Amino acid sequence: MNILDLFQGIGTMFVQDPQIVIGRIVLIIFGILLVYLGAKGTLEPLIMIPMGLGMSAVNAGVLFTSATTVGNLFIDPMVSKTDDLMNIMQIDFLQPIYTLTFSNGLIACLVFMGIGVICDVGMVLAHPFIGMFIAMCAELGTVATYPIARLLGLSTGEAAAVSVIGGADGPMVLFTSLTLAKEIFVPITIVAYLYLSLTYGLYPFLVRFMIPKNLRGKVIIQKNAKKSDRITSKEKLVFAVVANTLLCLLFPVAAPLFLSFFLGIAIRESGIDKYVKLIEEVFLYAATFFLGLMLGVLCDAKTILDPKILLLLLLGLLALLLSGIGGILGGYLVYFFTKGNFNPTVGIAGVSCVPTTAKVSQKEVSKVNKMSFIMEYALSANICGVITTAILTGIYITFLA
Amino acid sequence: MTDIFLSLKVFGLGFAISMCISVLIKFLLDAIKHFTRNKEEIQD
Repeated sequence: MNILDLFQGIGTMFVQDPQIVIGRIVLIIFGILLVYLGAKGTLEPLIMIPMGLGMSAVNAGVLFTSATTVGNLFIDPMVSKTDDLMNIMQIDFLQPIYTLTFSNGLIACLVFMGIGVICDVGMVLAHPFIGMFIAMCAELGTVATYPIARLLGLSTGEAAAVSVIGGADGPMVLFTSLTLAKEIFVPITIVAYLYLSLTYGLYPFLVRFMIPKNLRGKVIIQKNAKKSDRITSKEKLVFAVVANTLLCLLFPVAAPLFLSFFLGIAIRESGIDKYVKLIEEVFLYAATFFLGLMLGVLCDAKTILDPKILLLLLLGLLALLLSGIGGILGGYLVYFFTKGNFNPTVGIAGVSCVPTTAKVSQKEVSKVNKMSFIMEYALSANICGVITTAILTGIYITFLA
Repeated sequence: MTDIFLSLKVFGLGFAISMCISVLIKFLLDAIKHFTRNKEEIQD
């Protein structure tokens, strides 16, 4: 009996390419590191703990699926043919979740519904100009990556699809790819969700690198706040209904996200407590949990080191990095426009990864100054980011389709 | 060069539309306030 056939996780290491084996070992260690950083509170524990464990497990738990092929019992994101998909859904335990909730953007919609329920739209939309300006600056990656991707040999459609990753909005990336570059839909689905882990892991360090401590702790002073500025529940409900219809009419590409977000707001403002509880305590946390776990198991060395995915991943990373830098520069511009009465950390929330980037910005601020609350500005920029990404997606499609 | 121009066009147009949307949001909020409140509340 060959001992390596018995312990296939190790045995497969002797038949795979050395670079995949090295990738697997690195990702196993990286997964453990993510769990440590999550548990320590350096990175978001709600995402990092399931993600880190998933990453370690998927790279360790590789087995022989036939005499010549290796795989795992978690997920196969590259499968696209219906028959193969039905077959794999009966074997890989996370495949149904990935196929039925990730590929179609349902998970993102559930998160948006949760955000709608927990956030006060009155505060979010109190600063539409600042929010929209920062969000537009945070689209730097969406526009600057396009010529770079073209330079690296991607077609116009593929370059546009990978550039939209800079908007950090999974469903929008998938839609652009479906419309302009159907041939990369499967790999870009993986990249479109993997970017989330990058925002969690990369942005806190980018904020610390670009913004000095004294500015990170800056308190924004609300000037000329009038009693009439307060928005009542009835007004918020009317706003949710009108804005939802109007924004869906203008940007059908983001209609599922707008519906989910405004539905959450309408439920909150209508005071339907049972639904609020259901969405906040079940939908939101279930979606966040599976998001983390799925991000981890998508980090399979074989998938990530696939040349096509690797190129898309690197371009996606570049797009996100540029968007983050653009957002922070936008925050600095607002800081100068308002003569110093603004916290530039809000800029990172212009990248529309709702609510991750808003949470990242508030967390970084709270670490320096516990009395500085920037969440309303951050969420405003965050939501505006969804709108600006939808706008840019629409423009790319109009120009290139 | 064409690709850089396309990027600039996308950004310019996107910026203009975004600013218009922010005006629309502000207008919408003010309109809702106007129709749901009486005059004293608005002046307050």
